Amino acid sequence: MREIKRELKSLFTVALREVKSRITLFGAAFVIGLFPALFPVFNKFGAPFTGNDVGIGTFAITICVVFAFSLLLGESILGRELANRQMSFYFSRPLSATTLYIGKVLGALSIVVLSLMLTTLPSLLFFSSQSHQFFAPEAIEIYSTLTVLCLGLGVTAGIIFRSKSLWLITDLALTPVALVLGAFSFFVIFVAYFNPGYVSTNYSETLATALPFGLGLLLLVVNGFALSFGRSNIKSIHKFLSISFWSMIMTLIVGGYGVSQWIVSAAPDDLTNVNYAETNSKGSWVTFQGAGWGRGNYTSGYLLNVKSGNYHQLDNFSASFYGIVFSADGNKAVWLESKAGVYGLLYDKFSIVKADLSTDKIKPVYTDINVSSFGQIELSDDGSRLAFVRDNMITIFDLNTDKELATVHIPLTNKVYKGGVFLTPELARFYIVDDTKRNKDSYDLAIFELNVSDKKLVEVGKATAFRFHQIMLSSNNEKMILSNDELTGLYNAKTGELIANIYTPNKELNQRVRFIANDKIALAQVDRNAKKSTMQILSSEGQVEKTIETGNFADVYIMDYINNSQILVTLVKDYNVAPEQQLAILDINTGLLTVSKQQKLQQIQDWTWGLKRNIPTISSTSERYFLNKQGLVKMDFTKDSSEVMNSFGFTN
Amino acid sequence: MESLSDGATIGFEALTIRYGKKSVLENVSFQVPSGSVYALLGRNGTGKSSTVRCLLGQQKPTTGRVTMFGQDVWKNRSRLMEKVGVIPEEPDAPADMTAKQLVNFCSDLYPKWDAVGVNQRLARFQVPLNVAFGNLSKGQKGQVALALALGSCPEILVLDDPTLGLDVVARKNFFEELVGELADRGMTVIITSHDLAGIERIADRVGIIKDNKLVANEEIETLKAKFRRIRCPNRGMEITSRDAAWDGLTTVQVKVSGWGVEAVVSNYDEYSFNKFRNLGGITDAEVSAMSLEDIFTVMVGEKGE
Repeated sequence: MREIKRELKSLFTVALREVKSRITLFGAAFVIGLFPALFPVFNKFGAPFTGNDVGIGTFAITICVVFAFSLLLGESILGRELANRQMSFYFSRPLSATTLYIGKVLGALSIVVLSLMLTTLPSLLFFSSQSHQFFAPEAIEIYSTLTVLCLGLGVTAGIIFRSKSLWLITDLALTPVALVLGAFSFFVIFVAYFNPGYVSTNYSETLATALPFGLGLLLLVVNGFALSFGRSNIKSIHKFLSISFWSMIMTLIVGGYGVSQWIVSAAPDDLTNVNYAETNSKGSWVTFQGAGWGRGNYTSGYLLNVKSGNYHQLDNFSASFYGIVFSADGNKAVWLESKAGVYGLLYDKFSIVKADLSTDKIKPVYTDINVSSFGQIELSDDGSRLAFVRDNMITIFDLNTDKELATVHIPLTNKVYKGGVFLTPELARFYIVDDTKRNKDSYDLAIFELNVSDKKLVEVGKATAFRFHQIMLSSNNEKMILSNDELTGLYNAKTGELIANIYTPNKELNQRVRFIANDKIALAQVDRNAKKSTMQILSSEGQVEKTIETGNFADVYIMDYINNSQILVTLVKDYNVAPEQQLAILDINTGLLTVSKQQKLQQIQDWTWGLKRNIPTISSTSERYFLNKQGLVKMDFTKDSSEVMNSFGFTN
Repeated sequence: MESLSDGATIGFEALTIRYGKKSVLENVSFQVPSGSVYALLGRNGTGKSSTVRCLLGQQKPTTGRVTMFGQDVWKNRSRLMEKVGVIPEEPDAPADMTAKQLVNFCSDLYPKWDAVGVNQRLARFQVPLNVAFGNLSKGQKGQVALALALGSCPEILVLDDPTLGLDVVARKNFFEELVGELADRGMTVIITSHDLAGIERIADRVGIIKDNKLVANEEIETLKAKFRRIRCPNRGMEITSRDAAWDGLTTVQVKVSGWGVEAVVSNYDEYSFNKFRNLGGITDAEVSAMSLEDIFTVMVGEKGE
């Protein structure tokens, strides 16, 4: 305890000495701070300055003060005294290198903070109402990040440029590498910020601050160790600084690369959770995507042969995984595949890959194409033809002969998205949203039909609708539902004519909708605040036929329909307590909910955007494949029994 | 590992200092007994200051170690410095601080501080207390350094060429002050200096570095007793070629000039000298004692003919 007290006393003695020796900076800071506060004086000469300008000006000038003072102080607190051989004065005293260094850094920090206060003082005195601009949490975050970064850079520069050591050559040679990597990191963060699906904005905002702050802190720490090692000898300090700093940077680069490779190398056994799963109609293949420990969003989608356990990796990254399209007979599949790595930015470049599921043959049919309608590739029911939209063009491709049958330009002005559906192998219908006509309230949806024989594209319908996420077609492709979390509309699938608004918007409610047997519609309404959910069964014309209370279940997902009177749902009691989903069968005639005795499902997010066809993913009316905590499970509803097909890496 | 013999305060154990491929010291070992004043001598660039930096824990030896009170200085520097006063070769105190500020700063760092003694000493030296250290004269800087070094009541005093650049009067004053302090306190002192006359007044042991090695390490009186200058007037080359004539006396320098031969021997004793005189019939040979400066010059200079 006495030792600690003595060290603390020494530390503050050193810090105080730093502050006292640079006391003139405080006067300078105050004088600089007068400038923005004097802005309104210029109003007498016709300048249109307002209090707002004072706030912004104070913020800008404070940043300059923090930047300049931190850099200059950092540069001088070690480098100058080391170069002048004055550091031996301190090392001849009972002062540990750590105490000396922290004391000096603490002194420099105190000077910056006090200078910052003095710079803002005039504005604070006379324009306190504007303090939200220069003392906003974001502003304080910038000040602190800038201080640490500039102090770290300053201390380092003070040593490496004053030591006259040959290590400077190494530093100067490697600095551009570090700058490029730093710029690249910023670029990734920048991209992440504007592409929330790529990396969470929560992470990108934190990273944007953490990266410069971390670099500054790293430099400060390494300089501290270098001082302990080299003590009063600036060349030794420089040597240690360069070796350790660049070693760390190289370790970070190699480690980062290694981690990124580990992340994208996830196999099905590494999954601990599954977000999405779908089987082909025979139940022999399952595609799923989930999360694994430490992998974040970078877990692949997989296509797994249920019997053999063989799998194919569909993608490296959940945000560029748009599911898979099975043919109606369950023998063929196509999907979009992107092999972008963790830091790959070209994740909008895809390959289209086909698979013959009966022979396990997988082959890319297009590579490196920009598929503007994410996930919207379609197969004809017999699995022989493929349709997709790319670069304002519609293409029909024969998967048997691997030949392009037709590629037709879409007569719209700009980037298009959404997808299409085969009506027959020869005739495909496309649902296109013109990207330039999107606004905050509505989309213009154009409906085209393309005949393979004459390669003519005809606009058959048009609809102006709210900003829908999903287009869902009825089994005969005559009706479509456009929906998002709050709104649902029933439309004629060919002409785009509105049939019914089947849901009254209410921001407190979330909804899930789906066609069921006989083109009826099941609608789930979820009140997350009240933790209540209700089911409605609507006629094929959108009229409410039945309302069913789900009791005390907070949420309900419509999974599939079994037959004319039964639909399969999953229920959630309380997200905060038990987010697992409980499988149940709902009898739409009686409203009876029969909860399965089988294990609860993992939470499966209703993430699907784009067009969804109403093809049941069943092998028989009583069997379904699901994922629960045991893995992939085949369930028989008649017997309410289950069989684990693959347990992946699930631990529960 | 404690290898200090009883009574030694400072120990240099197999000390090697290299800068890249350049070797400064190779495998040097010696001890400084408690209460002694040890002068470490050598020509410029022989590694005295490097040795002092190792002693103060400011530089890590390439191999070997330096101990104070049995503790490795590199590992325990900050604690050991509580007992050490240092006067550096070049005044190293921050130039912007006044003597008063320096005293206040240092007093906060040491567990023991002789504030009265420091103030009295600065007053005696007539050092202006409110003038920045950088604006003081060289002599005044040295006096401030001495005051600060002694202010912590050290058990060891390290002086690295403390009189470098001082005029004759300042050097004399410095050594007088030091002699007074040493008499009062009984500190262990290690000093490097080129002012050998001053050293001779205060040191009781001496170590001489030459060609990366410690070529002498003993008490000054013993060293001085071993070295003698012998003059043989009216003699010539016949003496230098008659090795047998020097039998028993080791010559470290022999000069032949018009008036005769002059030699320096490093193992003088009366018996050998008389034997040399009688055997060679050199009855007019004269012997004279040598100063430390003369001995140093002979030892580290080129061997004459």
